[in-house]
Amino acid sequence: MLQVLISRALQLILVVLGISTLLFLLIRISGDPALAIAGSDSTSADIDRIRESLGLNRSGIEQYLSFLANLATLNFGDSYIYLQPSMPLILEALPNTLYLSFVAFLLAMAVAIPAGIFAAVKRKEFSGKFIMSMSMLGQSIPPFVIGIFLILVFSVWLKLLPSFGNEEFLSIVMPAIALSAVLMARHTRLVRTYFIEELSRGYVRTGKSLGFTNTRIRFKHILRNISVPMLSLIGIDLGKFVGGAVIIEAVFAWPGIGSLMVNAVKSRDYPLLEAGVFTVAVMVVLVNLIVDLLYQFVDPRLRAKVN
Amino acid sequence: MSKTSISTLLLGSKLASKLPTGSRKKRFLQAGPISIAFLSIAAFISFTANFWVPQDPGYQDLFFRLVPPMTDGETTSYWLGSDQLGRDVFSRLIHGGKISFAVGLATATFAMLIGGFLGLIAAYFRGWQEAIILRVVDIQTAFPFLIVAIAIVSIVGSGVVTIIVTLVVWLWTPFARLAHAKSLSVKESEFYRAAISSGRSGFGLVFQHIVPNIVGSMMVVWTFVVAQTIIAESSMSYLGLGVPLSTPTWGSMLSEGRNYLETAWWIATFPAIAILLTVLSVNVFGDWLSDRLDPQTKDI
Repeated sequence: MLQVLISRALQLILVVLGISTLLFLLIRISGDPALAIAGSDSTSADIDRIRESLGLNRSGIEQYLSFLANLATLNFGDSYIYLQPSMPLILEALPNTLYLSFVAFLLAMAVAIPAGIFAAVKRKEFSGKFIMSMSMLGQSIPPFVIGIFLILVFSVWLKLLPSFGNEEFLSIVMPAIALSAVLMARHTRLVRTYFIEELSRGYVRTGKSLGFTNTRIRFKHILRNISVPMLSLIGIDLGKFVGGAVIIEAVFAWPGIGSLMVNAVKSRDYPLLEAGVFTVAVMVVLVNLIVDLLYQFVDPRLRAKVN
Repeated sequence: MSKTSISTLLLGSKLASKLPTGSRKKRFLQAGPISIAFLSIAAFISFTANFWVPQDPGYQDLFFRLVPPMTDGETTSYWLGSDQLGRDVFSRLIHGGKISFAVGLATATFAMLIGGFLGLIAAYFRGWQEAIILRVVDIQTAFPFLIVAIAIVSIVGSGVVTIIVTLVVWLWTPFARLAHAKSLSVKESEFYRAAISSGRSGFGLVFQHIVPNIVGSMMVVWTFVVAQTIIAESSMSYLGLGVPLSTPTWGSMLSEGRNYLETAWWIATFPAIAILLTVLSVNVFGDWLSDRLDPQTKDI
């Protein structure tokens, strides 16, 4: 257990360091940030002053070292557009992103697991094939397109749901549906595939011969067995999920870190962008750590190995 | 690896796909050929758009702003309506397909070549090469790379080449993982050992005995990556981080249409349908291909 924690912590540091360094290099290579801040109608004295205040007149190595020192203290500098420290801005928006991701994830799983089992049990009937077609469709629509269609139908035509922001209780509905669609579709297919595979296993036959009900075999025994491979795929997908959240937030003007980062990108607000990417990296590694810990919980064999 | 898959590996994917698999029904109309035919026609229409599209996609006619589909204008008929600047949605839609198809095909192909190469290296040498490559694959797979891609494009500047390079850096990992796993199972096989004992080594060994046996599975993943790329490109264009706005793309048309949903539904709806049909066809084709070339690999 301790070993897993330590190796994960090392990985976290490596990933965050790698990505931050990449951003640092790209930003320095692509041009002078001072020019971007000063704008087009500034004098060269202004630009020199900004350069000095950002420490851009020092050597590359000096800049990188102070960048690393700032990284360690989570100080990414002031956002160019909001003129406030960037990290608190990101942290302020983070709960909204977590809320949206959490609801969308629960929604996706709540639909995908029963739908996948149903599609596996009824795989030769029309209803099972219909679910598979729907999941194929769900995987083929970009999330932001689903978002736009939802707005068109439920906000513009039916005037039922708010189309942007997070002001009302029902604001979460459309962003959550749009964000969950891909995960829902993909995991319906995966649950079905794993479920069908398990149906031919010996323990299923044993259960049947012992007179267990289908419900008991399906939901107690098979579900438990497929939860281990499912869990590792969920860990991988959660990372992509965060990427999808950025776009969905932009579509619905959801006040999370995705909207902040897209604005930061558009106005070349590099401190805010760096803080955002850093936060996402930490979040993803933490999620993977949680998944790793859940493994031990779900699969008794792993617990035995560690102890 | 089950017994059937070993026999597939022994025979090579080309031969194995011709063997009767029993459960597969012979049907006249199959989803795979239909979808690939649709895609070929759509790609051909898009790439030859310059020759026959009714109007220049950038031409603005401010007297015919936001006109609904099937309106006759001065210079042309707006079959799919016009946008907020009086540009023909139909012409822009066809031109927009160029970017989607070009980025999708180029990205998936380069990613396959690079990822496949690295996967082969990892499996052939084992050792530290394998450790490094697989570690990078693991880390990158778990990370929401779209965010990094967005950051890179915003810093380096938008453009077709930037997008393709960035997406290749993102999407080489599934190919590397697959090439590595499949090559390892080839290395277990009898014919591979026989080849080694008859004195083959190096490039000849890899290209004659490993590569032909992993090409089928790689093609299946290639189609799914094409679909993923088209979605990623349209997402980036939607955010305004794709190709420059002067070039019409489905994603940028959607983002312009987002602001006119209440008054002009047609601006956003048609590019949305275009993306849906294209990606759906690619996925259906990939599914069909995977049933034929690579029945062992699950859709992961």
